[in-house]
Amino acid sequence: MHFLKKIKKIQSISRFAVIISLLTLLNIACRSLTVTKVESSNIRMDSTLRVVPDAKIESVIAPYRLILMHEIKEVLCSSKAPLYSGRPESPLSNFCADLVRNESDSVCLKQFPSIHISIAMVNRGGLRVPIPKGEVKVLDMFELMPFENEVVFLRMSGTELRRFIDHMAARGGEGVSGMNFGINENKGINPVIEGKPLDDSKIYWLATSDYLANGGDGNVVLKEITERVSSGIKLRNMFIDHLRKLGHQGILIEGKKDGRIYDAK
Amino acid sequence: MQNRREFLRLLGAGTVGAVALTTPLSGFATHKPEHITILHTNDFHSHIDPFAKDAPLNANEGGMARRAAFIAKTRSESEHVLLFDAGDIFQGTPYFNYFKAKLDFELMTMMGYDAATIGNHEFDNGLEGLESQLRFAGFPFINSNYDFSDTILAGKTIPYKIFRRGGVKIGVYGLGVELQGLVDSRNYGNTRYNDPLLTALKMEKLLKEEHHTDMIICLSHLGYSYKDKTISDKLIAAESYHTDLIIGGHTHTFLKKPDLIRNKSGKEVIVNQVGFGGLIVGKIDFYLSR
Repeated sequence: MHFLKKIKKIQSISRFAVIISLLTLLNIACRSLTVTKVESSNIRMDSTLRVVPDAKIESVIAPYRLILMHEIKEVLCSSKAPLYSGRPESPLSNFCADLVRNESDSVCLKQFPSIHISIAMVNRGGLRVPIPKGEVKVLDMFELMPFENEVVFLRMSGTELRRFIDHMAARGGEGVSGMNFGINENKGINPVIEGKPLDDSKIYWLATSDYLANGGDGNVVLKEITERVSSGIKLRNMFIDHLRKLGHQGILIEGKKDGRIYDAK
Repeated sequence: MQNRREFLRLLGAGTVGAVALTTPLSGFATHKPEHITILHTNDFHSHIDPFAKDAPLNANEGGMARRAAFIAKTRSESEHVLLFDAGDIFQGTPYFNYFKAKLDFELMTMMGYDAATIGNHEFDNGLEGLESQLRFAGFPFINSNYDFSDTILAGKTIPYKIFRRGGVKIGVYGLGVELQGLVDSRNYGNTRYNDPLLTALKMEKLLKEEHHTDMIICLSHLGYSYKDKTISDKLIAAESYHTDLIIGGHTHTFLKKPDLIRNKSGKEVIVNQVGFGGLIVGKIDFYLSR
């Protein structure tokens, strides 16, 4: 009996020893790994790669591509020259802002007769690519305006509009229509609305996107405006419909600079 | 229960050690280094097809089928590959406007993406527009600084994930950009934005000290660097202690090679970003030894 106990004791001691040695090994095995070498390369996915495009991936894309090709290859109209963006004004931003003002005013005439759209604004940052020379397709409109923004109308006092013009001046100009102003030291100089000097006591209606009206792209002034009418029209669809009309009438897109925003230093 | 399981797991590892005892101990010193390959993309923006043949820039470059072939080739050359995306998968071609993210997510799943983080454009169709697409993604979205608990995204993203590849434990966390002023407030609803730097410090400490990871990766959609003090990948790198690699996005920065930034513990952090549109894939090979 006593002997057995002794054996058990020896066993437990040896078991203890085994555990200790295991733990020592464990310590070596678990000593954390450290990075000893790093190699890096940023690899262009172009024809120099010498890989065959993955056939399985291609076969998944193919049916989707077919649907898209059908939808987006429609030619809407043509343009004389490419329309590029720039500041303080540019052929692209002027063309787009004019389009939004004219189309919005027509929408109001039919749906909201009490509203006359005097001015429009599109942000340069929202116009993602130039309008190409020649055929302009639905696809080009998706690339120009990929975002699902809606056209909205904002009721502004002359004072609010003056602050908004200062904001656009501080940003070096934006896409505007129905207004002229100079830029000096981040301020809008001599603002003229529809041919008349800005009147602080007058009410003006602005057409723009819901993104900007909600304060997007730093538009704090627009965010504070409480009276808003939603058109229910997507900005991109407004463009597609307008360009299709131009195409039917055989009118070429033409963008030009006309000095609506100028350096007044 | 957790402790007991942990103990048993450790004993299991011990047995492996005991087997190793039969071979010379020096075997540990000459052990072949562990090799982990990280592949990454950012700001893919639905560029499913290569850029058009007549595109003014990057004509014929990119495309998912080519990227998939490159990834497959890399997997055949390297045993342990992790594939990540740093956000802004959404928006940029009609594929997104017509099909939302279904095709992007399904193709990324086929390519074996291990995780992605959330970019600002993932909110373009609102929280519903993101939530409704997640079922097509066979990989998790990792973000550590957006609090979605009061939104429909609650519980649908994860703050971090630990990957085991070979003998290496890799911890990954994610950082998203400030949404206010950048994204329509209706589109992010009750999402709360937490400070990215404080979040990064908390995450790397957790991954290092509690999970004992060997490597820590940050998937960031903050942007590479700004002229002002806006929080960026470069600032996170300089202020962190344990993060080894920051995979960035948002600023569409084309880095010729990854940047090296010295962190608070004197180690170099790798900061990388690969432009946009799936034009480039970043490849970083880590070799680790004991």
